[in-house]
Amino acid sequence: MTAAAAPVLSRQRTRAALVLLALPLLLVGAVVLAVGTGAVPITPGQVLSILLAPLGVSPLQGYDEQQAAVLWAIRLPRVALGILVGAGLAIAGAAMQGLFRNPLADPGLLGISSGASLAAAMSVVLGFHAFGMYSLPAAAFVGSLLSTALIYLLSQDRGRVNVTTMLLAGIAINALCGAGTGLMTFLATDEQLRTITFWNLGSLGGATWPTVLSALPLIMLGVLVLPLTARALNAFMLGESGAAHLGIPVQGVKWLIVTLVALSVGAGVAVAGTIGFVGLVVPHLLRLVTGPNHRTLLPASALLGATLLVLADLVSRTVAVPAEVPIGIVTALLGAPFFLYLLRQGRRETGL
Amino acid sequence: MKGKLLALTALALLSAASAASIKGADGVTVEVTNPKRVVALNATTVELIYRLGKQATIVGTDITGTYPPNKIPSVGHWAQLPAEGIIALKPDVVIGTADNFAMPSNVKTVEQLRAAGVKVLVLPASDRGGLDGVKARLNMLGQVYNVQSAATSLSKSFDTTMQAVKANQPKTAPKVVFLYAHGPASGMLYGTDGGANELITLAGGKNAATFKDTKELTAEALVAMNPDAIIMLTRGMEAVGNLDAVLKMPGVAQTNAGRNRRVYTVDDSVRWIGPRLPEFALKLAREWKADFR
Repeated sequence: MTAAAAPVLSRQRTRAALVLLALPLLLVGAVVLAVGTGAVPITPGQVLSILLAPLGVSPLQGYDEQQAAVLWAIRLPRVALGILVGAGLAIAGAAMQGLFRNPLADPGLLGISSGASLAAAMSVVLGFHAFGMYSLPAAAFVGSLLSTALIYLLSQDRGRVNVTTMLLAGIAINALCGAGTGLMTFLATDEQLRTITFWNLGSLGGATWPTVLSALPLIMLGVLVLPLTARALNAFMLGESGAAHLGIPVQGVKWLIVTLVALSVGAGVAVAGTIGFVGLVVPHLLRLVTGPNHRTLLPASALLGATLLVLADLVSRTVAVPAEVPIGIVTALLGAPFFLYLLRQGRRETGL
Repeated sequence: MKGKLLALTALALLSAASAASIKGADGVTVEVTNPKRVVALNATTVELIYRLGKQATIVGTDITGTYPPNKIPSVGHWAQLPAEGIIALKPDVVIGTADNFAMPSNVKTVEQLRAAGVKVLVLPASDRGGLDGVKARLNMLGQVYNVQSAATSLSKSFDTTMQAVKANQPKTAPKVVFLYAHGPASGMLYGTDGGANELITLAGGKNAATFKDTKELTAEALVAMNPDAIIMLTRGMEAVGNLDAVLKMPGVAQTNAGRNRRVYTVDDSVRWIGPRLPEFALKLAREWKADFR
């Protein structure tokens, strides 16, 4: 370590500590804001009263039945789904970027989104109804796992996973899935086309408690276990052989990360459609502030991803009341320019 | 005292008379009493409510609810209806059609609305069932607003118009395609199930497109069908430009319809079968009778 690098490192440590303290507060703030805001007006006092009512606390502020129903049946599951999906997408993005040692990697590279899109489009066009209203999410989840598994198998080279091959296989499989989805949209009727389009733009609008509970275990698995791979991901920055010399079980870690990413992103995509940008940008953004240490980066990504998606959904459902703008449009419209700005700033600062 | 009691009883009877329980197309029965705030989803629901003179009750619709011209707030695209946005309009009842509610993105919306205590009345599908379907929906709306006699007389007026249509049909049925154009280079042809086919048949034509659902317009397929007439939506005609531009669309010039410039336009709302179906049919029948004899 050179003398010049030491102050940079300690500054990053202080920043990391600050960020890990600030992010949970930010998330709580976003949740409070999102729960209290929407097409149906509910004041903070009413929110509190409604939430405390089951515990037998007498209402601090009067509210009507419908407000309580909206809060419990529509808004709370929606915010909860936003937290889950945002956290899952962002932490998966951080892990992928670490695994590929490439800040441009995102879960989409593994074919998760494109496989899910193809399967969703097929289920719509070919009329797959085996699971009732959960047929489309079920198909999307299976599709994302299948394409990920395919890419993973293709990148096996004598029992070892070649990360470069995985990247290239990902690009090829993505193109193939894209073509398949194109074929499906070509075969689709007008109504089916609408369904596919809206699914591809993403939405948390279909959130109900059963949807939240169906995604919860898979996404939480990723959010809780991926941080345990932080040491390995840090070691990966030295290259795979470097990591192996540090005693990291390289193949096992790669397998674990790919599986966790596929499960948590697949589950997120299945319930909310494809929501781009979060997985790519959140970790990148944090890296500009806290540096590349995955011990900070992974949990911080989950927190910031959750916060941003909750806020993006808030915008999506309030900007055009009583209508709603698909959340994929919001994340891209708000996030991309901000990201570009940060990129320019960060470049000047860190010489990236 | 007695008079007061009588008045009260009369009042109770009156309100009982205006309360209706209507079984929706999804099997869910909805109780409605003189709804004052209605969210009407799908163009034809809005149009039918207007026909019953109850448009003042509509507080929200979707992007299709544009006829008759109005300033009713829209809750967004018909294929993705927002639960909270609809609830925010404080509707006494939400009325929509089975085809729109069956969209995968809307199935949950209905569930969420009902979970929040909002009444949702599902009318039969608006893209199937032809004029009988329109009558069935009209009849249900008549019950919602307790104006059954208005609904019945409207239904009868449909029949009168249909008799006029029969009298005006061309003797030999022209082969017709329904072209849903998005622009000068692309469009969809409408098959044998749906409003387009219904309209062609009612007006005395024969759908040259023999497939189900819709298919992309390709030059060769159109030439092979060789229709005598082409029906377009006014919006589609505008998207393409004008008649001359339509004749330049793939394959059009090589058909009988193209050679004889037989392109007819109908109002955009025909896509979902609504109360103006007999009028559209009459207009087309008259035009075809003049052009094809």
